[in-house]
Amino acid sequence: MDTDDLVSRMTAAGRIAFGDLWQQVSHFALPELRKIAVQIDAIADHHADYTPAGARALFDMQVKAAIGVIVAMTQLTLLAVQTALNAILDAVRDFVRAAVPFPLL
Amino acid sequence: MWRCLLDRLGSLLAATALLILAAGCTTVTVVPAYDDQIDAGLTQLYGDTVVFVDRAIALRGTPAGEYAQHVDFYDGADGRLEALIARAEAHRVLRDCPTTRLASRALAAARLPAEIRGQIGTLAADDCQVVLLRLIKGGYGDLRHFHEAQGRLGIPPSARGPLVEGGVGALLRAGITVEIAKRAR
Repeated sequence: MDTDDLVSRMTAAGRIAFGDLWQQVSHFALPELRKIAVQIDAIADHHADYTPAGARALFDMQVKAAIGVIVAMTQLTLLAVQTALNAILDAVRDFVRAAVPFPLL
Repeated sequence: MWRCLLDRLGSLLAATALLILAAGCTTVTVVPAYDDQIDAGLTQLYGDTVVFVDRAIALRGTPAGEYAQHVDFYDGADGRLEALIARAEAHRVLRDCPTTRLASRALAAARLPAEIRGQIGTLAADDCQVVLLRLIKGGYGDLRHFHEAQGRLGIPPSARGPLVEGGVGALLRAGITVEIAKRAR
C-alpha cells in the first residue's frame, strides 16, 4: 500500500471535513492522519497476524488517540473532531478496502 | 472606657480569626497527598503489564497465548485498579489532594505522548488522580478487548508499540509521574 498516497487522500478529505477550521487544526491533524495511515499500512503488511476484529480494535485505539490529540491541541469539541475524522475515513474507505483483506473501516 | 475595651476585644477576635483562617489554609497545603500505596501499585502494574505483553507475544499462535488463558491477569489488574481508585477517592473526600498546578506541572514535564495528554485533559482541582486512574482502567479494557478479539492468533509483535509505548503503557507512565511529583514535594 502507498502510505503517502493514503495520507494525500486523507489530507484532501480533511480540508473538506474541517472546512474553514482546517488552517487552525492542520498543524496537529496532519501528523495524526499520518499515524492513522501508518497504522493501516502496518495492519495491511501484517494482516496474517490479525483477526478482522483484532485489527479493528487496534485501529480504533489509534483513531481514539488521534481524536484525543486534536481535541487537546485545538479549541474544537470532541463531537466536531469525531464527525470530521469519520468523514475523512469515509472518504478513503474504498482505497483502504482495496489494500486490507478485511473490512477495517 | 467600655468603648476602648470593646475595640480591643474586636481587634483580638479579628486577629484570632485570622490566625485560625491561616492555620486552616496551611493545613490544606501541608497535608501530604502522596500515597505510597498508589505509587507502588501503579509501578507494580506497569512492570507486570510490560512482562505480560512480552510473554503474550512470545506465546502468540499457541493455546497458551490466547486470551482465555490470561483472563486472570485482566481481572487482577481491574481489581488492583479499583483498589487504587478507592484510595484516590478517599483522598478526595478528605480534601487532601495535591494542587492542580502540581499535577499539571508534573504531566507537562513528563514525556507523554500527546494523545495521552489529550485524554487526561485538565485535572479538576480536587481530582486526586481519580480521572487518570479511570483512564488507566479503560486502557486495560482496550487491551483486553484487543486480546480477546485476536482469538487463536494472540498478541503479535507489531502490536507491542501501540499497546506499551502508547495505550495503557503510556497512561500508566502518566499516573506514576504524578505520584513521583507528589513524593518530591
